[in-house]
Amino acid sequence: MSTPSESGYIYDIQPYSVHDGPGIRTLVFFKGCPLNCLWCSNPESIYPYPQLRYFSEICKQDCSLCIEACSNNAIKKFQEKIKIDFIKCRTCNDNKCIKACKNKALQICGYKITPDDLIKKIEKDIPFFGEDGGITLSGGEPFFQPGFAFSVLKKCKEKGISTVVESCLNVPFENINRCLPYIDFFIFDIKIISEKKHLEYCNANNKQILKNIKTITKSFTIPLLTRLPLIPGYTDDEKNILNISAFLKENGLKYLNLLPYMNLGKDKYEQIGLCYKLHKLNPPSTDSIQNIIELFEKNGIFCI
Amino acid sequence: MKISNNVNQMIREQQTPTWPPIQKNNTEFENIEIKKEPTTSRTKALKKMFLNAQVLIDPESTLLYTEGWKNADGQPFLIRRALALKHLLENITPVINNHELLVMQKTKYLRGAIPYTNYSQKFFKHLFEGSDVEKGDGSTIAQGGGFASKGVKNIKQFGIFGIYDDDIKKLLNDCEYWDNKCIEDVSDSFMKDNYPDYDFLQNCFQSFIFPPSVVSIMEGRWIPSYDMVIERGLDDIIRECKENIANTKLQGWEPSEKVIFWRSVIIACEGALAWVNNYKKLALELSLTHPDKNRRKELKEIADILENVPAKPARNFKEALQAAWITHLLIQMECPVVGLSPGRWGQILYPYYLKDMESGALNKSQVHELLEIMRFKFECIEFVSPRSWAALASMNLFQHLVVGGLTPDGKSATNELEMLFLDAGITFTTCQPTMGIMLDPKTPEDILLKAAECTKTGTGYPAWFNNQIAIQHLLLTHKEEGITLEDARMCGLGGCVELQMQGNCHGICHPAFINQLKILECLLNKGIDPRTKIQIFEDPGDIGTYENLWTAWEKAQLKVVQCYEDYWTYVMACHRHGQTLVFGSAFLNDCIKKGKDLDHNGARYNKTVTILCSGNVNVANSLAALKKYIYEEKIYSLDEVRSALDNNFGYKRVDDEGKYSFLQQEKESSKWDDMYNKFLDAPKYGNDDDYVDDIFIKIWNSYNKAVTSQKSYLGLNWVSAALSISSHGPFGRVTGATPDGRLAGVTLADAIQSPFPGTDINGPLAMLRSAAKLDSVEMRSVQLNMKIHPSAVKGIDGSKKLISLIKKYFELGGYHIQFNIVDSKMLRDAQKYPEKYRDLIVRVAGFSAYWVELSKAIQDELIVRTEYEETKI
Repeated sequence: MSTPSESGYIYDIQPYSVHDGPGIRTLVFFKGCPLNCLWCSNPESIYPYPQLRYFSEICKQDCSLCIEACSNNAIKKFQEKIKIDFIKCRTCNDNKCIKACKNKALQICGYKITPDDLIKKIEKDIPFFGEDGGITLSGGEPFFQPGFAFSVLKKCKEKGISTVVESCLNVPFENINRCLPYIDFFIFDIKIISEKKHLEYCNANNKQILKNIKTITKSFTIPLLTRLPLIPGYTDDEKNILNISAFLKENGLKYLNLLPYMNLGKDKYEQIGLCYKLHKLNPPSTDSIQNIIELFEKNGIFCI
Repeated sequence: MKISNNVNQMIREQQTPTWPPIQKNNTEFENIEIKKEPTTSRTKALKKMFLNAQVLIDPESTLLYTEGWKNADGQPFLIRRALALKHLLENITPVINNHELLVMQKTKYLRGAIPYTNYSQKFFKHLFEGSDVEKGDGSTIAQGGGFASKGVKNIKQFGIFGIYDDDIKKLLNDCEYWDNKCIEDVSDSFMKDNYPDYDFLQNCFQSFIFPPSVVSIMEGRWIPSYDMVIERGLDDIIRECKENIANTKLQGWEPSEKVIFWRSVIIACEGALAWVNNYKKLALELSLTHPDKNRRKELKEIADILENVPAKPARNFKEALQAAWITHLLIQMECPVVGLSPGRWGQILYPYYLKDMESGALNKSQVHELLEIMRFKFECIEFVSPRSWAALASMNLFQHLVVGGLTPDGKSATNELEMLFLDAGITFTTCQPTMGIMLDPKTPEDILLKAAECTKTGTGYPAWFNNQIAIQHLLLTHKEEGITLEDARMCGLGGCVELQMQGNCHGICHPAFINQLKILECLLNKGIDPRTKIQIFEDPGDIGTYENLWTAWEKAQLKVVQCYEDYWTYVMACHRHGQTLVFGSAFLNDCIKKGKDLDHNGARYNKTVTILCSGNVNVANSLAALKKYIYEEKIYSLDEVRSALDNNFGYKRVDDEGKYSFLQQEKESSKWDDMYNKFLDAPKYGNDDDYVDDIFIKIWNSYNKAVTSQKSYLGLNWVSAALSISSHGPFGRVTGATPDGRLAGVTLADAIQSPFPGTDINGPLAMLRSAAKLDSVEMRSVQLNMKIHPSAVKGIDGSKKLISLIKKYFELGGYHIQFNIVDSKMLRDAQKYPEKYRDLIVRVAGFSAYWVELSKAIQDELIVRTEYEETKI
């Protein structure tokens, strides 16, 4: 499901990002992702189009201006509190409710932008990139909008900006390959080897992902970084670790970047009308991370 | 490509994975946990002593000075001053504290403050006779850090300052003598008699366009010539003066003034030597009687050191450090001085350090300990002043030590000793001396990394300065004085951010800050200050177009600036005849050579005096809002705006209740909601938006022009500069609602280039781009503070990125930047007032969120996490 035109949808541009590639980078968050992982910390990135975001903590609950402004009847008051029907809301393009709110409790998350306009915004950060820094495409899934990603990456290279892409790889290989000449550094995820569990936890099977990893490691010459989101109870069991170790070894990958689970994004779910399923989950302890690192190392994979 | 090398050399990390892998050859930082703790039991004990010490007012030296002054009645004034100083120094009680290796202090108490009644005296009467605070009276005592003594008999408590009962009466008697004789009183009556704009000046004080007078703490902001005393010794300085006297024929009045000056230097230095001798005798005495054998040895060594320095040239590192300290102390004794800065001690002391390291007389950890002791000594210096200064600075003395930069012949100046100064700053965290790093393209990576580590410990120092811009400024400003490249390269800071040079530049002695936003407030109110109802400016009349408003602004700005400059020139006119610094002049090139004191342009460079202002960000934001909505889109009329401002946009006025933050305001009426929201939405400085940034620049250009339009009391043009310290608090308190959407009483934007809290919404790089638009080369200082969460600067890699950020900002033209590394305490503050922390960047891989959008629960977690991470660098 990619947009036909060259423009694309993003929802955030984050300068001075220091954990998503070498140097100081400006991170562009693409809208839309073919997965739907239980632990996703950017849930607002999954739906590919602009969507409403409601901050109940900022809302003073003392007026009905948004209710009156909504032309779709998507906002109501229920037991004295504002309640939004997010499905109804997706059909509206007026943004009347947002303009009506005096407290700025409503926002649209995501907007359309042409590659040229996006580059114009990023260009200003170029003086800060230095030798190593540049742009990182993330999200969401950049290759979910392959035409847009292609245009952006190509224009970046034309301007001499270094490019990094973070991808979940659940996309046709051709979408990735086409962009290859314009990517300097590629970061991709491996989550769960068991097809059944991957389907259950990430809402899609992992066949395409694993196939892509095989192809990429065989044919790509650019630097690669493999990432594993370490989610206690979901990706950190011994079997998965052994399977991942074996898979990586098979494909000549020796290093793995561990991303311990963090729940900083959980409030965003309620803000966009979704339900966060991992409320009770805690980030992994230093000890458990250490154990996992050791287990990987025993199996020939080095964690960084 | 470079990146692939990193990838291929990835190594296993020992702790929680971070991005990216850390290179093995940087393990020096990786595995050493830099503990924020004094390194030896001695320095631990000293730190404890400091924390437990009471802050006391000690009038001993004041009384001695007065006695000496009276005894020398009739003498030429400078000689009289020197004789008074000599009397003081000969008779003041020497004290050597346990554990000290570096000795001598201002008073007999560890944290004693001298009340300089010859500068200002009326405030003490108010204080002791119990009339606590009239608002805006300026006569409450400074409230700052330190311990209040708890119910100790015979000590009366005033805020954090204690004073012995007996001393109160003595001090009050002394105040009576100086009534109408101290510089504050004398200059005030001189101005009343002679300054044509005296009434306008008083109106500006009343309305708080100017903060209350800072005459009581008027001296400041220069770097003495420590090397003069270290390398030559006081004996040689005395000899030079005597020779000059002998070789000067008194033809005309100028040579006789010189003789008077040289004689006063001789007298003062003799007093200094007597003081040192008293300390030496004390050390000798204690070296015989102290119960501990090791301590007896140490005391004997101290006596030996004082036998040699500062009379003779220093022979080794300990002597050099002691001589430097005594030099600093002598000037500190002479006057109430803020911003008396050591400057480049790492350069000056290096040859002695090298000698001792090579001979094995000292090792690195011993030097580290000595530098911690040095920090202890600096920190113990206290001062007492009316609230006017405390409102500005909260007890900080801004004694600035600098590392980095270039040598006079253009090489990188960085050395091992400078690294140790930074180390001592990490392990012995005290406010004083504050530190700065002159970042030059030639400055090597290792000191930059060390400075980054120091920054990350959250002490607030070092501040980062653009060395090349500093040199440009000095070459530009002092061109007419024939400045040499060598002198310009030996630059440092005098005070918190103002540029100075090592040992040859007149101080930056000025009346303080102009409250810019208050000027605008008056102009919008037909020239009347809404708070005091005083007609400050004449009614600007028709401000129906933006051009008219801007013209009115420039006119008012010029008037205010010139008045402030004139005011100080009158003060300095009296200073020149009653308060000239003898030690200050002696220990600065080229006063002795020229035979002229500081007040008579004895310094090599004199085009140094500046005027400061605070609040231009708010002015720019206000003018942008007015330009857009009143003048361009014509959505509201000026009268409607006035009504909204008068009514504080419908919010309760909280100036009196102490709620100065954005978010604590309570609404009473919704009548002005629309206008309030519109004004809040107007373009704001700090977002790389030219609409308002252009206005910001124009305000500075106009300010600079106004400041440099007149000559200072030294006969050279005033120099423009800016910084705010904490003036933005009190200034905000007295200013009502303004068109930038700021409510009455709310604190102004801090520093000079920092956006108003909550208004920079385009991220840190946009903020830096806004700040860099200000071409600061002609200014003596500008200031930018930035908040950063530890997650964005974690590990060696985080330090490298921080350094890269600073360098890039400097390449764009930035002059100064200082970081508040947010700790968990600040995060709790950020929970209560999230709008103040809109700019806070928390960085986690692949995650998108802003602090203000995180729920309280998440914020709590982050706070816990931050606390955990605070234990590591």
